[in-house]
Amino acid sequence: MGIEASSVEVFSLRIGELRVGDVLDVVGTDVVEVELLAVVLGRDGQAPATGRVGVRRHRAGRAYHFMLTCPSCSSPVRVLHNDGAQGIGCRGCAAHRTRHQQQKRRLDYRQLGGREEDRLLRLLRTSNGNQARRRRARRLARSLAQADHLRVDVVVAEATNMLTAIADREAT
Amino acid sequence: MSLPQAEEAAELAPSDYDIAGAGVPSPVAVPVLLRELQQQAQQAPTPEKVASAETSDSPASAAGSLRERRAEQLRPLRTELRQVARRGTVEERILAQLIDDEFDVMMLLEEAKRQLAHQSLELIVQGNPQSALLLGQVLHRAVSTSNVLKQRIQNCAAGLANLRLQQHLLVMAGEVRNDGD
Repeated sequence: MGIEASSVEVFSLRIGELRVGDVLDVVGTDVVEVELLAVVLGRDGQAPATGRVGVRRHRAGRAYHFMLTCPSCSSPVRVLHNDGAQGIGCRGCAAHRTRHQQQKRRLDYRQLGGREEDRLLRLLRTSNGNQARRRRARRLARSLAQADHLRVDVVVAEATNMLTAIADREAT
Repeated sequence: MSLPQAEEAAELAPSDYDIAGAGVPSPVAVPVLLRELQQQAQQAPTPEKVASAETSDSPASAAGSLRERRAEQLRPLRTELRQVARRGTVEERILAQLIDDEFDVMMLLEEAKRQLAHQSLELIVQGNPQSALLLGQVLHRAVSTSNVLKQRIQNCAAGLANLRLQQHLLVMAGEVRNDGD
């Protein structure tokens, strides 16, 4: 193994989360079990959080996988989140909700392309070289840009009409 | 001071709106943002400059120069963005293309917002609050749409691997949005 638990420090560049893959990039895959100090950036306006995080090999089926250990409940997880109170935890402990869960009732999410944008970002995040997903993402991005263009055209036309009407009224 | 010049001065003056608003998604963006704000503060017009501009510039030329300056500010960023759209990974290319399109759309909207804001102020000065109110409603829609676009640019920028470009985009999207507010 050869890694001192206290000597390893991981600073996640992802906003608000720490992924097991990023940790393995730092500690390597030769470890069996290690505890390290992790720093996770905050989401909008939140402070960064630090915590001691374990990395362990867990057996799943016939294979072994590396997993992070939640500092609060010790359950093995792939992603840990900044909980907004300067702590780190799994999805349940940090009360983390997806964008869809948070915003599905909002007008901009339902009617102004938020849902499509969320779908596009998820597709791109999980494409992993999958051609079909990439094609879908490309189509989605194109339609999103077109829809935005149409929305803005409507607003600009409305503004132009209004300005013209006011100018006409002033002239008469 | 004429209205376009007042708007221009207000745009250049540093404010804590950028920091307090949703324009800063992570603490990493803060130093970049502060640097940009300091640069803006250095470029902010002194009363003498404003007074001299008052005598020389007409409203139309002031709006034109503001638009040109904004395009000039965005040029290096967009060049870099187009390079990513040509040479990046497939995912980055998709995102960079989308961001570039969104910037185009946003520029159209910013122009409309600026005209609406200017016209509604003129109407208030002329003592026609009913028409100003009607324009204000359209302006409100334009601002909402603009905020949505700005948020989209920021969300998509988070998917780019180039962190410097990412931070630059976050700052620029915030600035562009504040133009017409």
